[in-house]
Amino acid sequence: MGFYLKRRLLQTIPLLLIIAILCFILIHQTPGGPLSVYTFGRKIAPRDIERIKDSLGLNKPLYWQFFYWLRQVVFYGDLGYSYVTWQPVSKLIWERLPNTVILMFSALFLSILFAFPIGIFSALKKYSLFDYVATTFSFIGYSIPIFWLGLMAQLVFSVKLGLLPSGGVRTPGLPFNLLDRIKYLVLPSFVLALTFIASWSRYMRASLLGKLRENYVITARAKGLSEVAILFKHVLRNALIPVVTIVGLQLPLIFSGAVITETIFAWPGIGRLLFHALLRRDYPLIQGILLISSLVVILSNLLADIAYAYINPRIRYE
Amino acid sequence: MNKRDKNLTISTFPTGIFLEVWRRYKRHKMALVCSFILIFLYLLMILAPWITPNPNQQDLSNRYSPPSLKHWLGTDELGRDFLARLIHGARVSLTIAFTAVLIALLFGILVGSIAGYYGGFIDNFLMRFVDIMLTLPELPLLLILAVLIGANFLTISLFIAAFSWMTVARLVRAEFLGLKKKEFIEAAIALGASSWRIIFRHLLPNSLAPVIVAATLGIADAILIESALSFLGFGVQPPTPSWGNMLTNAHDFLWRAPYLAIFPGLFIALTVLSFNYVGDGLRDALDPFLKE
Repeated sequence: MGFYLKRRLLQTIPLLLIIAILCFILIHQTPGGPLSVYTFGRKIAPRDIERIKDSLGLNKPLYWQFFYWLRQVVFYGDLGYSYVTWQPVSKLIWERLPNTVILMFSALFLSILFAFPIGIFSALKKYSLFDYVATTFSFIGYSIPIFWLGLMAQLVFSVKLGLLPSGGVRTPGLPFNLLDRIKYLVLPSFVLALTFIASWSRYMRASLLGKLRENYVITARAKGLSEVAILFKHVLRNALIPVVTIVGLQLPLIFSGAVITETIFAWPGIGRLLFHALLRRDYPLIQGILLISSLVVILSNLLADIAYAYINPRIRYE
Repeated sequence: MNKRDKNLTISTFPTGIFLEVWRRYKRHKMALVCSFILIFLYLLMILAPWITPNPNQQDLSNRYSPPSLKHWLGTDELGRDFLARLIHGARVSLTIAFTAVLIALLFGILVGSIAGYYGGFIDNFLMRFVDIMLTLPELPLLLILAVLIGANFLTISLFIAAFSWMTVARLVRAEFLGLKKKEFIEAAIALGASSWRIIFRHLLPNSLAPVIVAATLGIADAILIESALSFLGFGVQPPTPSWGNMLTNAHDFLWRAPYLAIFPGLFIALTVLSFNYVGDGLRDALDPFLKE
């Protein structure tokens, strides 16, 4: 398993490099170049632009700039400075990253908490009323655009009922209070989780149905094991393997969803940071966020791999 | 008439692959209903210029007017007819979704065919590329591309396609790998058929069933992605209506006119749902051709 993980970790390095290079090239090829934040809609002398370019090293060849940036990132963890606020990009990201991770993981937790039992119950009671309702709801849940669901949740729970706050992470001015934080987390995390509850419960159902037909289930029944014992001791673990693979594959989607959810619920995570950076064309910040979000996605994929290896003995004992 | 004769009469019926698929498709009631919804939507879209008022006609004295006989779904923040904007928005959103899926299909089939047919190093290389593409954070990259390169019909379709061809490539490759071992391919090789002919005449037509299903579901996904992009303000630019950008300012009118926030989302959800059900129905209908 150590070898397996090491190989996976090594694979991520070229991937990160490719993403970084692509982003670098794109930014420098855009009309206006990296300094369009200054030139756009402002009267600024060409002389001053040249001066800024010189001071930022933008007149050096592209490869030099790239390797300089890479060196700063790798050796000093320095992602450069925001062109808008002149704060270090790494500081801006570190402030926001925990919020995104909290949102992603609570959505992941909720998705698993709901999707797995729903899927298992649907499979055990195949073609029952519950199964039928769950199927219909998962089709609907899978088809609802996440940003609209967010708006509707705000409309119902904040505007009409006034039960939950419509945005933010905590009541301003209040000291840290877990209950308060959870109150703010409920809407965004449920909105983010719904799509995944819908699709993962389907995968869980399909996978479990497939495994319930296996011969070892018949053997277990013949031995006189109770249905509960068969389910928990024999079937579930095998049925989980393909589902965990899919959960791992869909982690990038949770991150994508978090970007939208954060924007709607004014959740100060890196998705919202990216949204504002894009509006202001703050290139160093965009680049930093892209790198960090790729890292987040890759790391969460790695996490899924570890979980996968843990439940799949064929990999664990390799 | 005994059972045997009955079977005989049925077998003299005109049959064919399409009739067979249609017969199976009809059994999926939801898929059938959803096909009619989509056909209705298409008629609306095609007839839009004749049946709806100008979607960009502003009437500032009539802002946020509630649904009435003149404006069935009311008017928006600039007094524009909301239903007209929804129907014209459908044209924009669905055209982009279709173009994106078409591009994704072409590219996915190309990559999948090459990987599946040639195998070996090429296959390995292409499939690792697919793996890499699947681990990228899609939405942040789409947003960045839209800002850096610019967003119009074609670029948005291309961006969406760039992140959705992988499923098709994987499916086509898997089909090819299975089919390559079949006798009819061996026969074609023995007869001296060129690689080109084997791929396009023999392998590809036999791998289309799962691709058709994936394409249908892909349209649903493309609509969702486009609407998200446009909602965030980086996709289709106003005043051109799209289902996503009609919700961009929803926060401003959530208090005053909540129905303006409700309808575009309902349209998206209903259309996406229909495509998902149609895809599901096609999957069932094409089942004998889908290999497990």
